[in-house]
Amino acid sequence: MIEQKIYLVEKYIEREFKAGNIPGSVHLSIGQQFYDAKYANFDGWVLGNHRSHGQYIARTDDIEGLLDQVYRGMSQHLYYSGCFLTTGIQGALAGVAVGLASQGESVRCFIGDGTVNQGILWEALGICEGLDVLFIIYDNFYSMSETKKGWLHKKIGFHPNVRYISGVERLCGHSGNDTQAYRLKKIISYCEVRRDLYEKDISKEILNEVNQRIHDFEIRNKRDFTPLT
Amino acid sequence: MTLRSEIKETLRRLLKDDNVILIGESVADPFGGANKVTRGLKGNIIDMPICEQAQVGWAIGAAMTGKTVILEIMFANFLSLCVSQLKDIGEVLGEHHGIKFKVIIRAVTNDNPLYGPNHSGNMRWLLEALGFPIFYAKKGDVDRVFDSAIGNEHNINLIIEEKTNYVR
Repeated sequence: MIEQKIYLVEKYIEREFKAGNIPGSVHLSIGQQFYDAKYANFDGWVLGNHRSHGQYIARTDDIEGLLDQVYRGMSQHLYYSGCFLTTGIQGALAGVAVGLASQGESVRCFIGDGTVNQGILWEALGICEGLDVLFIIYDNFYSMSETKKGWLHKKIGFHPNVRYISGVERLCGHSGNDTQAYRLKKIISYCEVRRDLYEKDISKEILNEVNQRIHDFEIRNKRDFTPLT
Repeated sequence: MTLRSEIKETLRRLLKDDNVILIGESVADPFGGANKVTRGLKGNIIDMPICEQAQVGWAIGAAMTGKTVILEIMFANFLSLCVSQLKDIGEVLGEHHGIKFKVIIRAVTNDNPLYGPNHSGNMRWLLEALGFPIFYAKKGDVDRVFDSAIGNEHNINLIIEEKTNYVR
């Protein structure tokens, strides 16, 4: 299952980041993998944001390509030819999403709750009527300023081109410097407590597949590989 | 033939190609754009509301599907609203992901200071800072300018039209 692959790959990236092997920052999809698997697994364009590893896997199944880009510091700038693009500038792909859709492409644009105030998003919403573009907003109650539960739906959830996903579990891992490390530890602890919800359905088959693919990638890139368990 | 007429005829020629799209604020008939350059033109012409950031994003997205998008920015001063879309998205797509597309931005400068601080000036500080190829539409040279901008390898090109020259 896709969400299991996402979870395993993200746990691997988390481990590598904490070991100091990944430059820059990473924003993990643990906690939103079910929604990534559900909404990003389709045939059109997926435009994402800083937290789109899971969407990348759901859309492309390209674990090796994800790792290659993450190890090069491009975690927030993922690309897969012809169908997947992200940026760390919040909301900045909203206009591109509408432009693609204007030419007949089917587009899903993923945005976080903190991005809802960005002007570019509202501009894009104003010119997307009738186009095959869906803005999917994940509300994990974890934006730059704390949000109150339910306010986002009133603010933007009414828009016909918006799919508002409330209650994304507040488990998204957040990388960062020392001032944010405590948040990461707290969130990871919560992840560990709730691990049973995410691991009970992980089959040995998927675990073996992910381990093998990461192993092959690491060997090709001359790194030491430790299997996920 | 005035500069305005010359630009109009060049756009008329380009718009015969279905892969060329012209967008901007009220560029379609009957208004024909703030400077009336596009009045009477036929083809893929799309009016946009006031949303310069999204106009640039739209242009990039549509151009990624193979279209040539010509975006009219009615005063070059408003390009400052578009910097993030141009640099963080437009430039990054080409330099970091190797994506090829073609967006031509027609931006209008205005030597007449009586239009006030937000609607006049040559905007040289911004145009040079953006770092994209810049062409100046001059009478007798418009066809070459547009063809050069469309034919080069750069994803985003700026064509600067001086408002006070439109009637000359």
